[in-house]
Amino acid sequence: MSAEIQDIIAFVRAHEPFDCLPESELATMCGQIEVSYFQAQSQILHFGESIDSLCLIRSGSVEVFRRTGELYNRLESGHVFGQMGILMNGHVRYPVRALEDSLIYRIPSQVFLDLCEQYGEFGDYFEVNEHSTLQQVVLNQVADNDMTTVRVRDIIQRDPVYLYADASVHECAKEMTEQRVSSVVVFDHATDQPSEEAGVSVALPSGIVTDRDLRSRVLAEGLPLSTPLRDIMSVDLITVEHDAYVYEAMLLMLRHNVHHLPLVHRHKVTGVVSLSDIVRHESQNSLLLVRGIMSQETVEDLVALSPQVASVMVRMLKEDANSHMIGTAMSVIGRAFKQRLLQLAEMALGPPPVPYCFLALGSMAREEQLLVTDQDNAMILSADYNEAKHGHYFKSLADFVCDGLHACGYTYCDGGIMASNPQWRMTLEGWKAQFSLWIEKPDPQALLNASIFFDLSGVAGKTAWAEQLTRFIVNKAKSNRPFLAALARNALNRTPPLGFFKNFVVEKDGRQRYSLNLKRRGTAPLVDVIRLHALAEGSLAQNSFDRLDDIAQSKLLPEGKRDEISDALEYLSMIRIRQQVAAVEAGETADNTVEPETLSQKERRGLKEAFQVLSNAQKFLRYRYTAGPTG
Amino acid sequence: MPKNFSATVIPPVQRGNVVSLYPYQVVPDQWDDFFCEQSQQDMPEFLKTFYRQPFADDQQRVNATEFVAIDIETTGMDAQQDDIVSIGLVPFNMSRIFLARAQYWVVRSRRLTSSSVVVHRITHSDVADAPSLRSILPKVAEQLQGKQVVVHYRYMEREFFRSAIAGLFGANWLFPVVDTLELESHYLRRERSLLAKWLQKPLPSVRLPNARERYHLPAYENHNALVDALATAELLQAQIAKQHLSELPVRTLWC
Repeated sequence: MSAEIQDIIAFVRAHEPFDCLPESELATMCGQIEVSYFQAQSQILHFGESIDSLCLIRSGSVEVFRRTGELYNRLESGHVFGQMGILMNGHVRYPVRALEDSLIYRIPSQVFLDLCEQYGEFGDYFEVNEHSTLQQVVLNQVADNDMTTVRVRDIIQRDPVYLYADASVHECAKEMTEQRVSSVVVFDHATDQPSEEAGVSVALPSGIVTDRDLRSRVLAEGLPLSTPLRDIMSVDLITVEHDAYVYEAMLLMLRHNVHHLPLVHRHKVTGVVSLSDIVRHESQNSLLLVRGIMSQETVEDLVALSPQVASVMVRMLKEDANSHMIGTAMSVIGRAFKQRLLQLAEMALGPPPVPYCFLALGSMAREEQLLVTDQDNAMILSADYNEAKHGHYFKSLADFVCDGLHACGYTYCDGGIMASNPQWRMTLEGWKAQFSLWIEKPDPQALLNASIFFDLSGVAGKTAWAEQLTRFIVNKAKSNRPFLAALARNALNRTPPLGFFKNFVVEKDGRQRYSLNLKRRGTAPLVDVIRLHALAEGSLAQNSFDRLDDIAQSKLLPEGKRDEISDALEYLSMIRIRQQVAAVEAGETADNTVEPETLSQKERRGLKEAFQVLSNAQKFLRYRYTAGPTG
Repeated sequence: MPKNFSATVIPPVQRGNVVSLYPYQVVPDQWDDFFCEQSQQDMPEFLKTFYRQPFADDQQRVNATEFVAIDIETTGMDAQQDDIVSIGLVPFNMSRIFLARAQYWVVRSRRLTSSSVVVHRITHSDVADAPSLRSILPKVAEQLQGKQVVVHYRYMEREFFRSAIAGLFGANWLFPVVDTLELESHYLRRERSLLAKWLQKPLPSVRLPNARERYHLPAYENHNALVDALATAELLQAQIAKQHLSELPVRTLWC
């Protein structure tokens, strides 16, 4: 009679990745197991010793260490370890010690390797598991996604058509008709002559002329056909690297409301990508909604359009967009609502008596907006602002926009961080004074509510003021240790929901379900960490991924940490997005929570890993910015 | 350590006129003399081979010993009345238990009661097709040969085997064992507080599952001879670790 031990088979079968093995294979494998008992605190694997088996924890718990002696992981019943050593060179890479009395099932290396060979899914688990689940998942996403893999140079139709600035609009119209293009690139001087080879220019063009320019700036104005292009061309050229991805070009167009972007490669123009190229490439995208928003004539119409915001996100997720793309698109849409509401307000109230800049704060400024979001905004007023004379106008303007946003689904901010709050309508000098106060006399409690102001971006009006303010903030914050320490303390307040054994610590949510809040306990604290590093490094970027790029340049973070944090943010954001999309599709209200029970084992593992990255990043923060152990 | 019954105090009883058998629950005082004596007796070849095995000498330490844990399921508690229903064994040493070399037999028996069916989940039809104990015992002896036998409660395994061999082959089959139950109660007695001793508080349970619990070993659901042999092997590994027995000569654990 065969010596099968049902107890062991049942245990092994209940754990990943063994659950994917056929029953007979599982029984054979279990028959090969060797069992070892380890008393608490005894060493199970020593660094460098040869390893002959994959270890599965039957009972107890163990600690896995890096070679440096730093704790790497804690594992409990049902977890495996030792695979790295077997797969790499047959020697222990991560020493392991029993944390509690532990019973270990050892699966001989050869049995393990044969199974990896024979069952792809089984083998993948270990590859993925060891080399970072997150990275793999993120890579897969990118690989599957057309918008992120197709580069803008690949969708343009032809070489650029160019003219000199002294050419007439007549010549220009003829050339465009002959060449069947909707734009020409304009060079200023004869010295900037395009080279002979393939029409590639040797200097950056000074302007661009499009169909629309000929219509609105020449014909509508009644200018003569001899008018030189110099007089009518658009000069502040917005260009895109020809290696950029299609979605980046799309986002540039959205942000600057242009329809043509010259492609630049090594300071030469290699082509022009037009909106129609992108629309042809991506027939369904957020551009259409933005155009829809900008053409609505009343607040009611905007409100009627607002449900489409969720469907854009659903569609983007279906198209495998990554969180950066979705976050940016949702932010661009949110900005469009603000911009249109401001236009409608100005139509109703008349033009502003003094200039202003409308600010987006928080996730919209970072271009990381998702579905469930309240409005966080503010206003910079001209230095000429006079409360008695202009106060009423800007109050009405702000109320109009904030009420409109609320009606469109961007609910009022609980903390009152809105332009409709007179406290947050200030002149640039007023803002600078406010930020100086926050930075020079850091009070953690005050900063708790103020951190949102450190992500800001101009939406409409004098957006240059927003940039000036950002530069002011960064210069002030950069070397201010007490301020950074106060921010660090705040950033450490929200810990990831992981218990001692990396199990999830769930909370009862509004719907009485036990769930994790992915925003409050995940992305938000991670964003805090990134913001802090960015401020310390004097980065002007607002987006967390851009900030991470700046941080990486500065070598502030240890090697590899940047990717780890970026992957974790991407992963947490994607889980949030998927939860929201699932809720939308089920006709429920989207929120930021997830019930771990509803996730697959793989997702749960990824989530745990992401939370672990957050936890480590927070520890690093403590070490880097807070002074002394009491910090 | 438990005290051995002396073979000289209670003399071997004569059964038939062939061989002197040790009485029930009596083991030799001097194992070496006993092995020597037995290997000269007329008995089946597999038993002779068993006795000719090199038993652990005075120097052999626990950490250098090859063990085999064995467990039987029976129709009752009385080795002279009841039958063996199944046998499970698993070889191991201080650091590894080798499931690949584990063995398990269901024994043909006529005395299977309905109560033991419930305990062992072995049914009459399983047993009807099974090999006889007569054919299994030589295989068991072969597995134990040259190894240190480990049991949990020696009055079961060793006594049932003694009776079975005596009945079927008219020979003595006795061997020194390491008894995890004995080790456990010895340890518990030693660790017991003075107060507990004065109050004559009963020792905690030394039943296999209870003993295992104290070492945080998992509870096994499916009760059978092989699982219990494995459970016994794991328990000894745990006892060796916790009671610091690995450097001791294995003979000091004999009973």
